[in-house]
Amino acid sequence: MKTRRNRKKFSREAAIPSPFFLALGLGMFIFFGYIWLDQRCEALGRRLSQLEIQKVELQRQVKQERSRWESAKSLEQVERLLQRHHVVMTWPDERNIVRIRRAADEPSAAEAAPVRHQYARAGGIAHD
Amino acid sequence: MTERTTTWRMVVALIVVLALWMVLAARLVYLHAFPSPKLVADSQGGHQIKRELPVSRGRILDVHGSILALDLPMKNVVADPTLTTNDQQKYSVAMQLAQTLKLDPALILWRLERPHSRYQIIQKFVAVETATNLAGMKLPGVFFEDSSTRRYPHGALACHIIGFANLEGVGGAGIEQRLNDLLKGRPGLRIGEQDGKRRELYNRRGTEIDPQDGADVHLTLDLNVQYLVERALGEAMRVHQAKRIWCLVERVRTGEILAMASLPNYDPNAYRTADTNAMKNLVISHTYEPGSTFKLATVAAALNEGTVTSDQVFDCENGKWLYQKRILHDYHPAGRLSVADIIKKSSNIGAAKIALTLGEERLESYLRAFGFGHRTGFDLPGEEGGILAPRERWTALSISRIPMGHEVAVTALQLLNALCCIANDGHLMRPYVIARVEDAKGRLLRRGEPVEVGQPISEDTARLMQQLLVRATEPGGTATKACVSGYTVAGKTGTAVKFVNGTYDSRYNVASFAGFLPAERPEIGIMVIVDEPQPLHTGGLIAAPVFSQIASNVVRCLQIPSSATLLAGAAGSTGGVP
Repeated sequence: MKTRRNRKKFSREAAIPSPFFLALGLGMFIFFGYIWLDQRCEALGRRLSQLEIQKVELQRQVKQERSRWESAKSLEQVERLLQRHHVVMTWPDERNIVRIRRAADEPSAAEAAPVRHQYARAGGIAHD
Repeated sequence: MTERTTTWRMVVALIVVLALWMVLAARLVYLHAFPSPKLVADSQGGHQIKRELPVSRGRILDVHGSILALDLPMKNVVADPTLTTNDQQKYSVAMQLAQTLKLDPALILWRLERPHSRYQIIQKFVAVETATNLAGMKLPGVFFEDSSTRRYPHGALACHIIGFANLEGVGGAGIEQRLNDLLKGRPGLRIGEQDGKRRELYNRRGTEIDPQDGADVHLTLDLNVQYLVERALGEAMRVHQAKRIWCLVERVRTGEILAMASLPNYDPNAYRTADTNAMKNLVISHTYEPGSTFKLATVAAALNEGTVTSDQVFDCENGKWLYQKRILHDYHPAGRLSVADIIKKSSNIGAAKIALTLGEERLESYLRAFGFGHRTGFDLPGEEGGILAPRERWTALSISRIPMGHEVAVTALQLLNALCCIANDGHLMRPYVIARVEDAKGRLLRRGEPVEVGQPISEDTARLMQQLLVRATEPGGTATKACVSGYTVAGKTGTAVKFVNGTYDSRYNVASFAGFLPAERPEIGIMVIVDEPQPLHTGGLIAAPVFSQIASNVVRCLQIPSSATLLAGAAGSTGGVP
């Protein structure tokens, strides 16, 4: 006797449904995304740390050099150097100083600025 | 054993293993999903780090921006003796440290031979370069801590104005003390996590508060002027074998302090070894009997009240005058002198008679108006107010002694400020040294501006006094040695006998000179005081030459036009300003 094939028992559907693959893919994406972001943050953190150390070091160097420069250019140090190189310097005598006087009608530097502003307001040259 | 039994046993073993894994998994899920607060606290406590971010103390700068004080990063060299295992290794580490840090090897070895200690400071405040060299040696058990120290690049220069900050970063004197709250800044805070090896996890940083660096303080002080002053004072102190010497340079029109120096001084970089006497700012903290320099206030008051005129003549009794049963002497005996000549010759008797025309009440009122007897409100800590007793406590003799600078005590700052008041056409300014304070981002926090605190005398009286004070430096005056080539100097000498062991002892004197220049248009006032000079002791011979030396350099430094230039400018056509 010929037996009939049980269609329910021998279904042609896939063993694992496609939504499962989708979920798995999504899970993998999230997992690797997380790993990538974590590594990226770690790398940025390291870079941040290096830059912080570099910044502190540069600030230290700036302060160190400022301190050295201040000591080097102090009048006491300059005088010591002049003496070492036998350079004698004095202030010029008052008779040797030439002071240039402004003409009577020429405004002083302090007076000149407001004058220029007034000219600009009156519609003259706009830039000061 | 049958095949069936073996299979059964494997199934049981698998079930047991799976059950154990399930239990562990369940526990793991439970710990993550429902953690107890205690567990959370323990976990976070081990990994959490709370670090204070270091802050840099603000700088102090002069009027040109030269740095007078700044913070320098340093390192502390520290050792963990438990990490140096054997004696040979300890000896080697000690020798290398001693060689680099220039320390006694025995001392380092003594510190390393403490097996129960894990923290021994080898040396504090080591230069970063030295620490880097040491780190390169990779010495076992040696590590480094960040620290910083206050540095004063110009050493003792202007030490009494700048002051010092101690190792904890707290100001102990001068500007460092007065503006400590602004200078110290505010440290930052970082809360984050670390891994098992105590390395910071940068991506787990939580709270982060940036540090706010201390504010920068800009002074009115001119470092060049300060140097010229201190150099002149040092030379004078050596030549005259003086006990102490101090000087002040003030801008007449504004009250800005350009230089303020006292000798002996100290290096704030080594303040711990400094003598306490050297740390005193004599200009503001030392009061003394001013002697004849005080006469300028008396004469100005009488002229302003109109009780005398400049050409009115007084009998100066040939140097000896009996008043209230006590004899008053003149250093330069004279007969009849006009008010102008009383200033020129510095007559004590003349000054006393001028004061009598004023009376006690008006004299006291004017002296207080000139700023005597109370603090000027100067920016630095430790200012003294001087002594000017209330009139009710004056004796019958006081009216004859106070005008010549006895029975009163003043600071150099008070006296020069009163003189600058006369030079400033009667306007009394509050002296100040703090020009401005800016935070680390350049925002203005505080600004020092000229403040007029009063006008004790009229402009006419002030101008008359300016002319009278010029006469002291002219031939025949007491201050001919105060002259400066090309400039007209106005001023007053003072010589005060010191009160030592309950009596006035003529062997001990205070010589002083207070002056301003150019007299035609006063720009700067300078006061020089020499304590116990030997063998000469008068203000005209001791302090006036120092004034001249300082003034002749300072006018060039500040580019102040000479008297001849000013007169030429005044005589020129209208509007022609030199």
